[in-house]
Amino acid sequence: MPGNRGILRTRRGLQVLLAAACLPVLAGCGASVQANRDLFAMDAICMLQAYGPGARESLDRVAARIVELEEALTSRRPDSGFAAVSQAAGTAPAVLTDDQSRVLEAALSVAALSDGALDPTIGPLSTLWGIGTGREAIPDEAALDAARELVDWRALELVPADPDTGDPATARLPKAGMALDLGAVAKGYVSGEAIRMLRADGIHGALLSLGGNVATFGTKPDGSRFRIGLRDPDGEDTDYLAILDAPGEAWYIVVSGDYERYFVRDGVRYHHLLSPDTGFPARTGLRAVAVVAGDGALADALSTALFVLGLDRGLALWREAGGFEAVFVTDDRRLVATSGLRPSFRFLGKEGYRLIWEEPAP
Amino acid sequence: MTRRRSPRDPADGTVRAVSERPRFGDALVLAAILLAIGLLWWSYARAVPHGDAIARITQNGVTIREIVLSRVQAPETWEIASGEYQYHIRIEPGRIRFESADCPDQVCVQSGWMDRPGHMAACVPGRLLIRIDGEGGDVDVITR
Repeated sequence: MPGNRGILRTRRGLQVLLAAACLPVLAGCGASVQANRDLFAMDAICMLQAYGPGARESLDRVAARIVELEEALTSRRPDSGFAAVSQAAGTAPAVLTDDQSRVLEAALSVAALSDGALDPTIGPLSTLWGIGTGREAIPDEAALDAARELVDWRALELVPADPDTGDPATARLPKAGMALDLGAVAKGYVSGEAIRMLRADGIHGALLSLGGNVATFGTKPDGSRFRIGLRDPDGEDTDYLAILDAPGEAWYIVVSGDYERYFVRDGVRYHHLLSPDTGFPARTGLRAVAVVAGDGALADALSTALFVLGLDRGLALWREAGGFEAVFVTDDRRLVATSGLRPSFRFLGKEGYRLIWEEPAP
Repeated sequence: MTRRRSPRDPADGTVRAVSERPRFGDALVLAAILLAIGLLWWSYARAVPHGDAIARITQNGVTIREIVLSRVQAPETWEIASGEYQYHIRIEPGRIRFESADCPDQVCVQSGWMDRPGHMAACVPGRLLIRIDGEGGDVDVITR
């Protein structure tokens, strides 16, 4: 049967060849799947991009989680999210989910850091102005004073969940009329959750934009860094002043700017970043602040806080607290960047703009 | 059936006597190899963009049209309804934009022209998105 053996040998040879030919295909399927997912959530467009094994399924789970969190963390709809806390203001504590409790904790920590420049109880003021709702109006003074009276993060009573007794977290606002608004923290928290899930799934790299809040980790399939354009406040959506090259660890880049949500009356622009002190849109000589941090909720909350604080007080906070980096865009066209961004920051030299680096305190 | 001959031997009509029986199997295996190579090429070609900017129009997360901008010959205004709103999308060689829309906030129209990878414009009320994919852009995403 030498002939048969020959056939077998030939067959085996072909089998080996076939297996060899399939290998790169299979390896390719396992290692470098690229998946994209767009969804509309949290009043914004969310763009998700991931590379790695099972990226598509991973993004499906992340998208479902984003929708779930949108429901839990909204401050505007009367039947969901933080509405129960606001509706019970002046009476009993309301029960929180774990996510809500963590968002409130992050907000309160930045409120404390910034001396209330970010305030999770800003609800009465943001409702009064209604910026972004299509029913904007400049409130009269009496209404503003009344609303300002009701904004006080120090009065918010947050009781964390007790793992021993199993009691859930609760929150209570002591005065009727007080209301929570976590719009300045929610998206950042959600992006943090998304990145956490993707990393747990073994994804190699991801780039997310939740309504312009950017979150990323890892690299592109070719090993290169993700490049994030910092939007030009005067330009269109597609114009940017500088590029940040993400280093590979989890990075959250959140910008607060006066060009995002606003309305114009008598030639004056009223934007959505309200000062809890004055009750008016914060005017601190800034067009935008970008915060870069390793935590999504923190980056989001800090970008609002720094915008309201202004350049000098914002830099002071950076020097004292640390844990984040920032780029301030002033209305006299300075780009003021903190020194930790040096390895990542590429200024594009836009005409009229000056780049200034800030060093930590000696 | 006696001696294995070189399959290259052109003079011998009984060449490959050894492989007479597995001829069909061979063809199958060969087809499988070719298929595998084809798959490899296809997945590679899909994974690695060729540098062309591709405008992807998605509705509620689902891609409804893809346009290779460099291959656009004649300008076109594409009329499309999404949600409760009506849109005119202007497609020109190398670029694309929301030309007009009857949505309440007009953010999509104000976004202007898009011509490089990383550019995007969205209408949140109508859940309609245009985004440029592909290699060669300077950035992968732009903050708000």
